[in-house]
Amino acid sequence: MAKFSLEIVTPDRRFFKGEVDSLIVSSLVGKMQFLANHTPYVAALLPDVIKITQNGFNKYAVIAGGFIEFIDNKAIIMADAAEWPEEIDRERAEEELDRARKKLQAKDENIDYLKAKLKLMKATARLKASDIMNKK
Amino acid sequence: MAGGLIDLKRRIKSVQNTQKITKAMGLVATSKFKKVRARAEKNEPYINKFNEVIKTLALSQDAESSIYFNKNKVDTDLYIIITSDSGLCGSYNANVIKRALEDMEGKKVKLLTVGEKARSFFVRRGYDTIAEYVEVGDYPVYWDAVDIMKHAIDSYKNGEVRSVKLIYTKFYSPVKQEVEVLKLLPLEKPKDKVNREFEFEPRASRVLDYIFPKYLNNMLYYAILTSIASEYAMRMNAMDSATKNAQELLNKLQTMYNRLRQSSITQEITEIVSGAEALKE
Repeated sequence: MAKFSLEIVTPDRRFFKGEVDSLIVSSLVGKMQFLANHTPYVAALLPDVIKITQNGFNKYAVIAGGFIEFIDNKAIIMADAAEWPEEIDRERAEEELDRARKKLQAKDENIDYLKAKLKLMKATARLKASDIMNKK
Repeated sequence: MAGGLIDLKRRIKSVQNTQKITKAMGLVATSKFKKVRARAEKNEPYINKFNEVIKTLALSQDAESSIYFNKNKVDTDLYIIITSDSGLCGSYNANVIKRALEDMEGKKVKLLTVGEKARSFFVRRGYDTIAEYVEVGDYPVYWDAVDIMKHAIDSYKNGEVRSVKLIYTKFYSPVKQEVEVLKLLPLEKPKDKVNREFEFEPRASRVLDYIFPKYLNNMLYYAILTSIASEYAMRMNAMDSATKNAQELLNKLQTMYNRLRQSSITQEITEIVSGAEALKE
């Protein structure tokens, strides 16, 4: 299978670099898959689990928003933060999910609903990733 | 004679105290330096990648028509100047301010200062500042940069300035730090390159309005981190040489003290001996 190079960087580390077969991410309009020689593309990403297929094996990671650029068979994800499933602290993620839910339900002008919603998505994504890992 | 000795002793004591302080400040600077340097270095790959991404993005028609590529028709330039809050860090602040003055010469400028040193220098000289930030601290977070950058982006978008430049001190190594001037806005298309078209998801304008400010914020964040690393590296060196100088001074004073003490003892003995001799007769 034709491959393309993928690089994921976050403000505090180089998260991933390698030749991959396929990549699935969530953009604002829905899930999308990148394969080798995709047309030049830029998309904003939502906090979600991404799926990387490398040499026939699937790898999962959580990214907390950012964007992707694909050009000349190279994909770069500039993520705000990224984690491998094994790095996720399940308890903390559950707490965060809880807090975000409460915030969204409360009616208070001082609450930044957009921020709370993003937090909710992040926590959901982290739990999802940790579920995937546990199933394996 | 004895008066001289007491004075010398007092001076030695005072130099010793100063040396203790410079030593302690040196140690504090070293530990802070290590932390902030690690952060700056971790941030570097992200910044380099972001630069690369922006360069390719700039080749697209959509990007070029974005507001961040606008050449505003005014004659004012905005400078973001990063200095420290406190002194005793060698020539760190002086270098930044000197470079800023060189670059701004003959231009109509507005300033956005970060750090007490830049604020007091430029405000006292009557420069027009749009915002002054002090006490960003040793552990800045990304949102500090967002906050500061917002002022710059706003005045650029409102067409009040034609460019935004950033003056900061880039950290290369503990012995090499250099003041750099970085042009942030307007973004420019790399020369001699053919246009590349991208598909954007969602609309181009929305994606670019998300990416470009993010890029500017991150550049500023990195500039602040690397500046603080430079500041502490220079403070370490400054305190190190201050401690060394104090030691040299102490050695000299101690020799002087010993000599003086020796000679006063010799004199006393001579006096006693000659007194005894006189009694014998």
